[in-house]
Amino acid sequence: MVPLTRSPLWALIAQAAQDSAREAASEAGNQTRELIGKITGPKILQALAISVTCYLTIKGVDAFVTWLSERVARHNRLSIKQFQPFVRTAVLTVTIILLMNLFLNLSRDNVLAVTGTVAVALGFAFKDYASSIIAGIVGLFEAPYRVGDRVVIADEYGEVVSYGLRGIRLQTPSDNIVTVPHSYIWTNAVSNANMGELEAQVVTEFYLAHEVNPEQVENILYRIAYTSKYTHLKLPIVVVMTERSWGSLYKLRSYPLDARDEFVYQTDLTVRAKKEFARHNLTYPKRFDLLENDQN
Amino acid sequence: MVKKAAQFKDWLIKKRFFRTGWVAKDARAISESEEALAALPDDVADKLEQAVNKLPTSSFEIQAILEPLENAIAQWIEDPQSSNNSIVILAQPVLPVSLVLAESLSRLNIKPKSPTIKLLDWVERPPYGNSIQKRLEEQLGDSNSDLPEEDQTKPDRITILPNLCWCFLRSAQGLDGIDYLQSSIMNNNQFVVIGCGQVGWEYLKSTLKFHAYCDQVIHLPKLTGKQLQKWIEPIVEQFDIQFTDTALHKRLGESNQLEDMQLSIERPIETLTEITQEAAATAKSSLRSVKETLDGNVDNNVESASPKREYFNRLADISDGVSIIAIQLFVRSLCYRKTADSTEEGDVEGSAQQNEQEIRGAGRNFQKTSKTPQIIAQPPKLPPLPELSQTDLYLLYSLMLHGDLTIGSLAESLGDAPQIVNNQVQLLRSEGIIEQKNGVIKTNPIHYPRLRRELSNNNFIIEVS
Repeated sequence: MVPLTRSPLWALIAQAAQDSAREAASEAGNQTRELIGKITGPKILQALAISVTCYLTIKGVDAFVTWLSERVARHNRLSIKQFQPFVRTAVLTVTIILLMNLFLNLSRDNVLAVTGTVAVALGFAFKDYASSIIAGIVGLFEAPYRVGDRVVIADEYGEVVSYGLRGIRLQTPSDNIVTVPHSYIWTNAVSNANMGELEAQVVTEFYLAHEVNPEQVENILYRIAYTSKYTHLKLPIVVVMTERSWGSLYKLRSYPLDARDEFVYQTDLTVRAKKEFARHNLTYPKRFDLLENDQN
Repeated sequence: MVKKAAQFKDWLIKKRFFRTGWVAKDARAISESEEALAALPDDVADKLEQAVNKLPTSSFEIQAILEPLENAIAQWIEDPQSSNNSIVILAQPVLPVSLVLAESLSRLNIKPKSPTIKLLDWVERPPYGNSIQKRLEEQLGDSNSDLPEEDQTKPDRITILPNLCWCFLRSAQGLDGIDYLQSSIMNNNQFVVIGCGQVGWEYLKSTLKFHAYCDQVIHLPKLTGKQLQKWIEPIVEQFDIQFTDTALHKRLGESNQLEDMQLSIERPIETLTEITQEAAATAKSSLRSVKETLDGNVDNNVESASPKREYFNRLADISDGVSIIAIQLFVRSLCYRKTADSTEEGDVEGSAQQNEQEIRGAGRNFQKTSKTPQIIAQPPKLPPLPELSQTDLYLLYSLMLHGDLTIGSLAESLGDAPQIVNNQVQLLRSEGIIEQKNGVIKTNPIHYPRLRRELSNNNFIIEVS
């Protein structure tokens, strides 16, 4: 009996498979040759020039926007900064198109041929990156955060100082820069203190003993807020009081003229309030229970 | 009351000239107006300065106060139980409102049987915020407490607070004085006349709702070009001041067109504003010149009146109609120039150097032009405002709020240490934004229009609503 692998049929099948593979490889090669244009020296130089121009343009726009935003009236500062991500996106898009035109023969058939083959591979590799980019584009219009906003995101609090293609950069109060990918907004909440406005509410807490006259404390706190140089007098000032087992918690909710002065404003209010409390002999609580929840 | 007010006014001018003078001098730094005066010959500069400082308050400002004041007091005397028992006069923070009010009161004409007058005759603010209430209590007291009940309905007294901004300091204890006024003075059987800076008023309005206790509020009007011209006319006539024509064809020959304009690429908006203002003023004058030429209306008198009218219109525009700013800009615009005066026939020898080429070898008589030095008023311009940081704005707003402050009071108002505040003050003083003398600091009035816009753009309560 003749083995299967030595039979004429097997030889035919093997030959057909070989021919088929050779044909597929040849076709792929032809398609690739069609798609990829000639890579010449001048083209490489051109590509480098385009990349460098793109980089310099982005840097130039960043510097110009920052410079201009610090020179105009305060209420226009954030509006000007918010142009930055749009311009960056546009410059990068133009650059990618120019580079693709340079190295690829972008006919319709070629694009279709390549897309199918490459897309699947790239898709798996860059799915998170693509998700962030798409989230960033959605974020430009939905605006969960904008440049200049003070947000709590991914357990970090800070001012959004940059809106990139893939993520934002937060400057925290301790002067750290935290990069958060845009894809975070798909399924997580973002807490925004000012939503594009210059002013953000500041909450300053004071703890006093139960025996203290609450009306007197309220009057003092209102007076402290009215007389602080940082207070934005056109916005509301509210004192809220809550009773706790250890004493009374007072919260002074007010707005500084510039949200960047948030912490120095809080310090100013606290220092001056403590002086007044001492002058009126107002006492502090004897003990604290830090585990008690605070809702307001 | 008239005599008392006149005495108070004289005392203010004599003792607190730095606060109330039209061209008050900083102890060390030279102001813009002084620089202009320094360019004139000494004797002319001295006389000019004296003449300017002797200028009385503009009659338009006084008239704007006098009529409503007389009516309000008369109405109250007739019906003391009416709720209309106060009047507030508001002025720009750089204008000495106490002086304007005192001058108006010294011309008041009310009935012989008028109630007693209680004048808060402070010439400076109390040194500490926590002493204001005590001093108010000592000076104003409580008018009703000792009177029998049947007399408490009669018109009792007129209380005058020439400058409400001295009755408070923006600090925790500094507002106690206003609380006292609200509870004791404003509700009592008396008529209250209050002078206040606009910025301080807006502050008290938004924080303590002080306006709820007051009835009539009179804003000092902005002076028009015509009114400023009438007010400054005595000085113009005394020194025979000429006004330059800013029409383009008349300025083409002058080399120093843009000398005063400090154009800077770092302040694009201000530079553009400066250029726009300059271009608008030049275009307007040129149009006027062309129109006059086409109409054949080139009479000398009309020609000299038009540049003068345009000058004062522009002065009113850039000074926001505030008299003290206008007079300082006026002084700043003065310069000494030799103008072509007369022609005479003269011999060749002994002629001026510029005619040497014509004279050499001519050997004949020619017409010689003599030049007489004259004071010329160039188009008035606001000096540029230097770049200000956020802390500078806080300090300047505090000064606007209170009118004038000492270093200690300013530090208390800002909540900062006096040394830190003093450092900042000296820096701003060297830039000419603020002036200081004998421990008192105030904003340089000439910078007020630009400063007001800068503060308003940065969310400070400045505009009168």
